[in-house]
Amino acid sequence: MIRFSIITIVRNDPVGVIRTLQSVFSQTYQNYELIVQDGASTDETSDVLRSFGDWIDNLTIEKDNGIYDAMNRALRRATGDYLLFLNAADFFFDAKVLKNISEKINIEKDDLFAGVSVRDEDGLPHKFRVEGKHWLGNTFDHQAVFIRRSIIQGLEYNVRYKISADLDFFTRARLAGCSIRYDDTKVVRKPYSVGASAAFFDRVSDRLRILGGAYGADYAVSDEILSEARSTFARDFDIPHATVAGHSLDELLIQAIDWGNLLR
Amino acid sequence: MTGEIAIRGLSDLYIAVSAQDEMTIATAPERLDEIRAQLEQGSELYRTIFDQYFRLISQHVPALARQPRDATAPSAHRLSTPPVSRIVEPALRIAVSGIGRSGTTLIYQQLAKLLLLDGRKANFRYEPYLWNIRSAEAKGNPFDMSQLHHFGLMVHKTAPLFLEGPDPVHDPFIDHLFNERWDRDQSVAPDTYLTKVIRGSGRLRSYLTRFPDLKIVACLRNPVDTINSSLGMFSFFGEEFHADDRSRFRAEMAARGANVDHLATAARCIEWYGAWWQAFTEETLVTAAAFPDRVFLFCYETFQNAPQGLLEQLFDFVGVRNAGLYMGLSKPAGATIKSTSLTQHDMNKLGEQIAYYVTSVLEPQLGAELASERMDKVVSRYLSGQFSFPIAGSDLGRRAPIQLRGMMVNGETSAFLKLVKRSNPLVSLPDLIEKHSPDDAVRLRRPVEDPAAIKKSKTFGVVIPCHNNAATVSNAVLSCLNQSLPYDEIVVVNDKSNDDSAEILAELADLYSSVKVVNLPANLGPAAARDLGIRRLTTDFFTQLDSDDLFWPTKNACEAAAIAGDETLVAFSDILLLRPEKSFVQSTAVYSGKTGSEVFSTLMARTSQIPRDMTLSRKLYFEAGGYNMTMRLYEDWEFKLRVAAKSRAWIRAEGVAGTVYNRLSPGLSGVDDSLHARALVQIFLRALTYSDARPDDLLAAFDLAIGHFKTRHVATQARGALQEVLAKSSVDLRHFGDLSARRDVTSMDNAAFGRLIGTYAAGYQETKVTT
Repeated sequence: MIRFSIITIVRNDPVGVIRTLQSVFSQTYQNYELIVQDGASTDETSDVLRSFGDWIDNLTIEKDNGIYDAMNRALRRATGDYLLFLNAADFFFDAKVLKNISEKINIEKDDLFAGVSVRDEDGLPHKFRVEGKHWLGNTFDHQAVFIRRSIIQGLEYNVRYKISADLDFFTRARLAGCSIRYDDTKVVRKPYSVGASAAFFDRVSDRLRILGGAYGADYAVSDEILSEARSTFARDFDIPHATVAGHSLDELLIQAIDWGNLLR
Repeated sequence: MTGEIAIRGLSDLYIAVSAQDEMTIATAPERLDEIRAQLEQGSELYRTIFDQYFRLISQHVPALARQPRDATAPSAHRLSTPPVSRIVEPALRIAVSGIGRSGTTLIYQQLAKLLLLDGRKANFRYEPYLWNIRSAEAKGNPFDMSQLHHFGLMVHKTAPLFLEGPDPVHDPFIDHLFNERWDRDQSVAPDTYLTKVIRGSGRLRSYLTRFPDLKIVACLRNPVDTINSSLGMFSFFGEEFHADDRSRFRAEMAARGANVDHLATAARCIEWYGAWWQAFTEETLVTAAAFPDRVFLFCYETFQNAPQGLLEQLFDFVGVRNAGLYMGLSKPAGATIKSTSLTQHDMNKLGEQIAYYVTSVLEPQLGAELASERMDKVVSRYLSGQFSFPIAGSDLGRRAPIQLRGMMVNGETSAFLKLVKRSNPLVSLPDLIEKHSPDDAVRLRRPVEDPAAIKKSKTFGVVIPCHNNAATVSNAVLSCLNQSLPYDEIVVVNDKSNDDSAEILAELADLYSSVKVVNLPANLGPAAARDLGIRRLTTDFFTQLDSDDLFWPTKNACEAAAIAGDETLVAFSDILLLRPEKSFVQSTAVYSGKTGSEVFSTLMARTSQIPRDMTLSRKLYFEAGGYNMTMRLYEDWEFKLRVAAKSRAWIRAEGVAGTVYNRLSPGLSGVDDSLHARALVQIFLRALTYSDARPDDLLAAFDLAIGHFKTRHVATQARGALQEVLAKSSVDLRHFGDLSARRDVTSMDNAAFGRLIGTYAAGYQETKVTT
């Protein structure tokens, strides 16, 4: 019988974490452990978590160095067969998710088992790149993928990436030969925020570094990312394609700061 | 277009220019476009424009003349007006001043009549900081945009609210009030000036010093009637016309050394009105003391008490006598009020102002005994009035005050209208009071004599979860505000409602300093909503209220008295139960005075009416572990069991009832019976772990607790298991109860749960042997 480790990272979000844990406790499949890592919340979050008592198998309240550091700290304590990171405000699609996954997942073969993530805003599945385009970016949602414990505990997240450490981990897992199974089971509902932000620029640079290093020899990683970035900038900043066409990625990133200011 | 305008007063110029009339100025036609452009840019430029025009007019006034609008009318005659600073002539100059709704209009109109009967050549100015109304009859004016006095508005916005001496903008404004040609004949000076202002109470000394013969009739009225009257009409702060009065008032008060912290709590709370009333009443009294011969205090209550005596004094003061004045003033505003916009929370907050008025105004005027009698009467009237939410300062008022009633009639909507137009409550508290209270509403609602003695230095709060209760939540909150001992804090947790709740609650939080709203970004259910609300409360004690129920007016006073500051106790009241066919009081006497463990045993059987919405300390709440946030059925019963186990004793409060419990529609009718049975069974068994206290006959208690759900399969299985466990000797019931507290049990279906406890009961003996 497969045992899951559900890992929830939270800081100062009592409402989000209550919603997350309510969805965990309502799972009809009961062979799981719940690990909660609270980054030393300054509001009532920690008190709320303590009030759940031993229903949280493993509660740690401590300062961390960002979300991926918190995830690393939590995953080291995991003992289940597969881990799922269900962070505060993310919640299971329904009460049968773990039951469905436990029936589908093949513990002999599947290292990563990726289900579907649904946008809380509109209830629609969130779209990712097709599987073959994994050299360009994520092909599934971090919060919808069950990860074999030995793999994540071996590789961990690289905390130098503040935003794209998940892409980095999945890329390293692929390179290490992990099997990835895609499935249409709806796993998680989560809020998605959209729009250009400083995080976007970091993400592009990180992607270039991660994916260029991993697949640069075999695929036109930088060309494609540059092309994607141009389209994104043209769309988000409402700029003619001709204007973005001539720029290198570095130029675009510098220019984007001005464009961003213009938008504001 | 060429032409000439006659400037009768500076205000005419401003009205003419700002109204964009088709005119130009003979002396400086090239400047008109520039001025118009400035006017369009915004009112903050008024001052610049004014300065320019003041210079202009000082130099060229004789050359200005008016272009008549109607070509057939006789053309306006040219004027030879000297610079305004030189037309002072001996005359009777009277200003009627007061805070809005203190009786200034009444006095103004009667004095105006008196002066006209006396054959005076009088210039009348009604509310010139706002309106351009120049008649003796203030009533009957449409009070629409065409009557706005742009110059007066500019002066009010520019001049400080507290002004003692000269001011380059305000001085010409006062000149315009008390030093102009006669309105009816510009060739002569008037012999009388009568002006009424409600925004000048802080500027009286600048009036008195500029015109040494000016007399002021200063109207005084108690804060309760004055503020209540204002709340139903317009705000003291005039946000309809100038948005910055509140911030200016706070800044000037702070600069004068006043503590203004309480003015930061809520945007439109009563504290603002109390502070405004007190600041300007104090300033009026200080001014009157400094100019005893020139300021006449017209105290509304003195007038009610002995009208003739005060009028005689007023005649002496203005120096004009006529019996006509009696006629209009013979009927001061009656002893009853039609409606109140003041809650008891508000009255409580006005305590300082009420005390101030009694000692500083009423006692010197009426003597101590009469003063307190009169004030008691005033306050009592508010205990039975029909309540309506304050219009003053509402979003409606801010957007389009003058069309306010029109908007309401035309069904336009806004957050404020959603609040005031809430559907008629099915539950009428006044009717229930009449039916169920031996005391009348006034006695029932009378504020407690000595709050400090009851509260024992502790604070009391309420948490109200709200999920799609827009129709009833405002009445629930009002019932907390209208307590004979008001709550210190009311936290409403909006559990992600899809209706108008958020807007309505935001309005309430704007109006009442004790109301705080927590909007949850996700729907968590009542248990979690209450828990988060209780965590947000800062009070020592709390109670809870569902947003479709109400509190009886004495709920807090009676339960606070019962608990007497003891954090180990629980206080509760009887319940006024509303069912479709009737309403009746459900006694909770069975629980009266019992120890925590006795209450626990009684609670387990769920027989007689369980107390609800008890008052207890937040400390006890957290010690008991708070609400179980994973439960959605009978979570309150489960919580009460744990509180009982942790508490010292339960005290039944006096009073007819605590909660008016609305069971007009069945609450959980949509939930399957088997889920009811399961929840009850699980909570009952789980309770075996909280305390060693037990009902004498546990099986009988089980039957009573499960009630008519006992025929459900899960209930019969659980009863069988319980019976089997009880039949075995030296049984630790806690172990059995622990099963129902397990995390994995919450999501088990009934069949699996039944098997689990059945297996445990059957195997209990062996388990004991092997361990």
